[in-house]
Amino acid sequence: MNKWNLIIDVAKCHDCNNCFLACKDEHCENDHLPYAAAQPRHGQRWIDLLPKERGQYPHVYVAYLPYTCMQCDNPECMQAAEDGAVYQRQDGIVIIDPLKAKGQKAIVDSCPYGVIWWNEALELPQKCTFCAHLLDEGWKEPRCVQACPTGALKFLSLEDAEMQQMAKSEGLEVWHADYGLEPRVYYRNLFRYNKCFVAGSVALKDMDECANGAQVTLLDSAGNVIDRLLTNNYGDFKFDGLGQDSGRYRLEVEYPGYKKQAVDLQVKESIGLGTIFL
Amino acid sequence: MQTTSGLLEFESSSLKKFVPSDEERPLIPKYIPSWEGHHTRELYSKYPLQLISPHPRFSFHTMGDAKDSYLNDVRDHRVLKEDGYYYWIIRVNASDALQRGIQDNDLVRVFNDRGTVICAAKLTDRLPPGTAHSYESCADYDPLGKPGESADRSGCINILTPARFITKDSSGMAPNSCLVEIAKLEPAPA
Repeated sequence: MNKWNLIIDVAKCHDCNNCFLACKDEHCENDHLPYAAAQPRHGQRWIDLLPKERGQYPHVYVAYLPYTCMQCDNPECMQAAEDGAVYQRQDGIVIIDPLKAKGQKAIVDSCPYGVIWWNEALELPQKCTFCAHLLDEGWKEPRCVQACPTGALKFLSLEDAEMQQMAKSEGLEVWHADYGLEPRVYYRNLFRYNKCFVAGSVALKDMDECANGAQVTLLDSAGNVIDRLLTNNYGDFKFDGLGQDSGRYRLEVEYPGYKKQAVDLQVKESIGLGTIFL
Repeated sequence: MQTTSGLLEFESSSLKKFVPSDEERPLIPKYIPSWEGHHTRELYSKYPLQLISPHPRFSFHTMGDAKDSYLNDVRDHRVLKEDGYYYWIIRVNASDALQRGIQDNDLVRVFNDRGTVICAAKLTDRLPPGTAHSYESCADYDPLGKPGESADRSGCINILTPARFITKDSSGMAPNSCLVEIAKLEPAPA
């Protein structure tokens, strides 16, 4: 049985908010019963864009994390619900029944991802439905995916085994795998949001020039080489994907005819080193 | 080549014909210190931040902004504060903000001799120190007191920008030649 999966490429999201606004357009003040009651005009973010700015000027990288109901295969909200108020469809989509769930605030509190919202006026927990009302009419994707101009959001109907295989071969990750809830939302290039980098520029002081092709080596605290690269023609380099608070590193910079330089680092967050002069 | 001579020109022949003696737009382009910028020492000492105010990213000029639209909920468009009001955003270099005791999402007064606009500050390293960024053309004007003589809290950034043209002989506006100071708003309006 095929199930729906949302594949999000963090590298392609530019914060245009078309997904956010398409969701509002579809769901605000529109009841789609029996799938969902209308989303209030303000206060709920069925799809959200979480901004992340890494580094320091001028080595700054910005990413946005499209963030929505993870449509867990093993959902906490379903366990917290009474009277079967949350159920999972055969296509994997988790639905909060807008009639049965009335008054069940525990459903909101049960979600470790924080993507279930409380509608004060209707006394109703609400969340993204993957636009199930449209899929059942024959749509191949929800409104947010349709509105995405960069292809950051992709919607795929696959057997679970196929999806697992794809995730493995393409290096897709889920948000907080440690929760053990088996989400159907997968991320590509997630490191742009949740990992750190060390970046800088190398310049030749006597020439007043960028060092094009300088060799930069990143070593761990034990002196093992983690990665090695060459600076581009602006003298820039970046090592990405380092863990937050991952401790001590050493950076070595070499360029033919110049004295080698080393920089010792403590990585807490991303580091923009500015210019290293040889 | 669409120059009047049909050739690549170092000296503009069309300018020479129509406006030969505009000191602010010489026939051969050259660097001219701005009449409102870091060279204008007296003004700069009072208002040390260069404000740039391009077209808004999420609203189309005034269309879509304010008016209780859900566009207000776009995180980088407006900021909903505890008082239930959606404030326009001004982006400030993080070190400039910290020097002024401003934290992310704090309400601030953005001001110069032309007026005061209340905004929510977003701290960023995407701007170099000494600069601030806020979009022009919010769709509301909400003066706290007498209109025209009091601070606006809806984000009318054009209150702060110069009314003059780039040169006296052209109709090009000059909103980015604009110096401001930013201070934390205390206390926040009720």
